[in-house]
Amino acid sequence: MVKKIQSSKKEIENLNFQVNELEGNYRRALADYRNQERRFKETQSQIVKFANATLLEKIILNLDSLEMAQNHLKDAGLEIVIKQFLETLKNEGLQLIESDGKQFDPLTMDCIEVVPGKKNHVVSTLIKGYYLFDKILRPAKVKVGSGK
Amino acid sequence: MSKIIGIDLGTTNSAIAVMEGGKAKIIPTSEGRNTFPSIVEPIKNLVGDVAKRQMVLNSENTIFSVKRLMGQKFSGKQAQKTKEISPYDIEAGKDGLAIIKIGDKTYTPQEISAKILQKAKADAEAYLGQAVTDAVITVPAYFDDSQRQATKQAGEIAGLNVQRIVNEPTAAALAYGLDKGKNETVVVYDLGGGTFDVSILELGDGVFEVKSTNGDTFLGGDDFDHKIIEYIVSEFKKENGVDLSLDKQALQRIKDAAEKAKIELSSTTETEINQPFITQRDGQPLHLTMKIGRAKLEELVDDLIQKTIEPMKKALADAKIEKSQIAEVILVGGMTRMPKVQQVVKDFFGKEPNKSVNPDEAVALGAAIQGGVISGDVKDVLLLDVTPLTLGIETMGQVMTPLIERNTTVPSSKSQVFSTASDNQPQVEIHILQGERPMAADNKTLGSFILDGIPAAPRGIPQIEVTFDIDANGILNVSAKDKATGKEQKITIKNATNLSDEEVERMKQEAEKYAEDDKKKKELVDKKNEADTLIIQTRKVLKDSGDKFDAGAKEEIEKSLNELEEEIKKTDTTTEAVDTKLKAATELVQKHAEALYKAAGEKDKPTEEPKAEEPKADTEKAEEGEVVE
Repeated sequence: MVKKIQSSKKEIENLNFQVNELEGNYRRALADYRNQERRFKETQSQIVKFANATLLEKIILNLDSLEMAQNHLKDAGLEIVIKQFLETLKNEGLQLIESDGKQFDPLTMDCIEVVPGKKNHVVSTLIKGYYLFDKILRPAKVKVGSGK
Repeated sequence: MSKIIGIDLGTTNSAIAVMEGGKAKIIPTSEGRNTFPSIVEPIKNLVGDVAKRQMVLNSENTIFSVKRLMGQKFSGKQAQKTKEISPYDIEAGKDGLAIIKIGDKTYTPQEISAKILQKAKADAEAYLGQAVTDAVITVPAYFDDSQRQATKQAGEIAGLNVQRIVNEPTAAALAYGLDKGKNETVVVYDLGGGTFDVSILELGDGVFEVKSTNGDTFLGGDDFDHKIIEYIVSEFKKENGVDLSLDKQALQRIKDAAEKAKIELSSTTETEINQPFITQRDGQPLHLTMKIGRAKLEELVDDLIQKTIEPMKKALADAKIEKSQIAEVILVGGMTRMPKVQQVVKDFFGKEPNKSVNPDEAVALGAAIQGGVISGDVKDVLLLDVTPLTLGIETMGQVMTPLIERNTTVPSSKSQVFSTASDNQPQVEIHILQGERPMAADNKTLGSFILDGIPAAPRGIPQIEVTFDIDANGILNVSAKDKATGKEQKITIKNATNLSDEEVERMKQEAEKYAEDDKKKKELVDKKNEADTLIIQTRKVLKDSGDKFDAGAKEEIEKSLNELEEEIKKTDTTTEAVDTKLKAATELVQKHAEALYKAAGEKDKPTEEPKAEEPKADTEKAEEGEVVE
């Protein structure tokens, strides 16, 4: 009889342990799911906003080329084309990172070369940087003054 | 217990991962990327991309590749070589260990690594929305005790309990799922941004033993980029007489273009570099346009790739293992995406390397899995199975129609409505198949049953709903229900997901091997089904309203239909032959139908829309519905 009670007790212990373990697993899975759901909601709104990022990243390379061409050609017609192009991109959330003459900021700028000029200030911008809404799509590539 | 994150603390790049829902997942950095540069500016406390961007301006204060100094004596070869190539100052510190001097402050390599780990911790906390206190960090297999200790200290400085230090190749093997109780020898070939490692591991009962390791701590993707840049500069000089390497602005653009070209040439065989207005000569702009083929790239970097062969040989010799004993070769590090690298590894080991895991992420993922094992996440969370092969049924023309696609997580259920293939068909056979091949006969039969008592109806009219349901234990229930009568039949198949790895592999390989043949066969069947539908539809029209056609036209159509029918009955017919006859028949039907409606139109002058298109539209509708044999 005692033996029987003991073995039942042991079984209850085992089962309790199993129940706890399973409940733990269940909570863990549920927690993962809830977190995933929250993150999904967060990313979903981001995805909609930044869906164009990859495309815009490529398009600004073409914009660079157009501007380089304009630097050389100085054509009034092309000037309008570039302006139109910029306007379209602006409507999609693109915004120029102001860099010329500004204090160097590694959050928005990438220093390519150090040249004589005002210390820690941008002497010239080699490749323009852009924001897409509040995120940096491409940092500006700049030359920074050495202070000499 | 909070989540244990896995951190790949790399020489050039680092990555973070965590177990979620029983799977390892990369945590994106605050910049939204999957990895970040292992670069630190300790004074302003900048880490990652931000630190990299100010490196040129602030080179003596920006520390990169600090991993090379971890636990190293200043007098040692490694520290001396690092000092040679580093713009920052390295000195001897306590116990002769290498330390970094910036301004009048000194930093131990641990402190610098800690900054990298702090970023990892912060980014993980932002992603998980909870505090992170525990981590698993990876180190190269050749790290000695003091180097491992230093890595652990770095974690502690960053406020992390380092639950375990794991070897990078071991983590990679975990990420590749190679811990499933098999005893085997595997090779990990890791060619990253700045270092190359090859390791030989022996797996047994979930224990990994590093048998040998070798490599080159100064060989990686950056060297590949340099070769391409050099080539572009020299070609441009040859053509235009201008040395672009003297022009920092041009060089920056070439650098970006070279990296892009390198990446593109892993998936295409030729790429074009287009950098207009790269420089000027005599006031005239010069443009850089150049095509680089994959073969050219391979030629340029061949000596770099060849450099990885000697370490492979040494690693084998040290492990006292023959190439034939190796069960698996896995690839880690971004450079292993290059087809030539894969080829060299394949040729050396005589084995197709496994590249199923993203090579930039494998180590961090493996570290996260190790973290999951420690926290109990991996063992406890119900690991949901996936169906290893597609499940479906046989439909008209002996075609396999998939219901549950391969790699679907189970439990899962899917229903689809089918119909009959011929008029007054009293029953349908549900033939359940498993496999990736489009033709039913080439797949594995799991079972079959018959649903009868279908009321007499023209083909395509009865609606039979077929449902596949796999439960968590891999038990497949298939039912077929006639929607008109509610009559239902079902079958239960056990172990639908429980195939041996070999079997799954064989079936997948067969599917790949015969892909071309199968596609042709399937095309022929589709074409035949299309022809069959046209024949039946047209004959029906002829029967119902044949009196409206003139006898000549009717005969002409009949003849063309007969020819088409004969063609599809031939055993040696081809898709093209059926297609030609089908087109001819379709055109003929359309022509006569048009004439018919025109004649009718002249007589009745109808006001509704013209119906000349109807026979064609009908054919199309019939094609859409799938039909059970």
